[in-house]
Amino acid sequence: MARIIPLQAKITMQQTINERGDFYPACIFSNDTFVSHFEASLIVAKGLLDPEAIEYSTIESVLTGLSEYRVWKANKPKTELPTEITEHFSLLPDSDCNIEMLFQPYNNLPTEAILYSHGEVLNIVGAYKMAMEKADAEQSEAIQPLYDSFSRFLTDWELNQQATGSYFATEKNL
Amino acid sequence: MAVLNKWGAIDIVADQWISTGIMRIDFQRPAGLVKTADYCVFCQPLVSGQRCVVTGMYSTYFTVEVRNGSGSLANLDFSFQMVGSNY
Repeated sequence: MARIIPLQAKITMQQTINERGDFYPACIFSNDTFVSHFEASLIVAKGLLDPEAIEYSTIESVLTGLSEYRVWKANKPKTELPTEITEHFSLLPDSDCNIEMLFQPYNNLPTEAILYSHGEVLNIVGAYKMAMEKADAEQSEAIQPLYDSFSRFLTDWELNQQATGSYFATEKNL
Repeated sequence: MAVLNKWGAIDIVADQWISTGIMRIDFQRPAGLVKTADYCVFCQPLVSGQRCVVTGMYSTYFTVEVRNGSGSLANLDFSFQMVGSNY
């Protein structure tokens, strides 16, 4: 399951292993607009998949994760939520870094970070791909931008892994 | 074409067709509570032969798929009722 966090100064958690031993090296900067587009694409894609398919479960898992995040955020005292984001930009990697690509199409300031493991991104791309094979023009319009972004993100990420031996694309920058 | 009647102790803050035949309905519980999806939604079309199915239920919204008599996705009227824990 993905982890979503409000942006805060120390986003180095993307390099760490959680208590269960899972890596969450993919950090996708996000905001409400992005999440709204992301959810819409997932809902449309889900409708195109066989409920018995693993890709269907993948999408439901991502949607549930986003939903659970809302519950967590709504019940967290506001004083514990960071409000200042300007300092976070100094932590961002170079402008051509892959982690920004998902965010750029919507041209808005990020307020949160979504953390996914490599396997999760792989599954999301796979689910989008399967849905795209059945999508009509209107459905493609909802799915294609996210599919393209995630595919490019994954490609760059894997190229980086091949070049550096690490999935932590931003390790040196942080 | 959209939601025609809605019943339940929640406020509908938005209903939108995110694609033909697929509606997302955002709601708010009393006092702004946000909880896990501990509710049920019953929806029904208003014309014989049409179908609508709740395809996903989440903390702040649910989704409905609506099909016409031919089985194709279509933006058609439907009604729904929500039942669940508000507290």
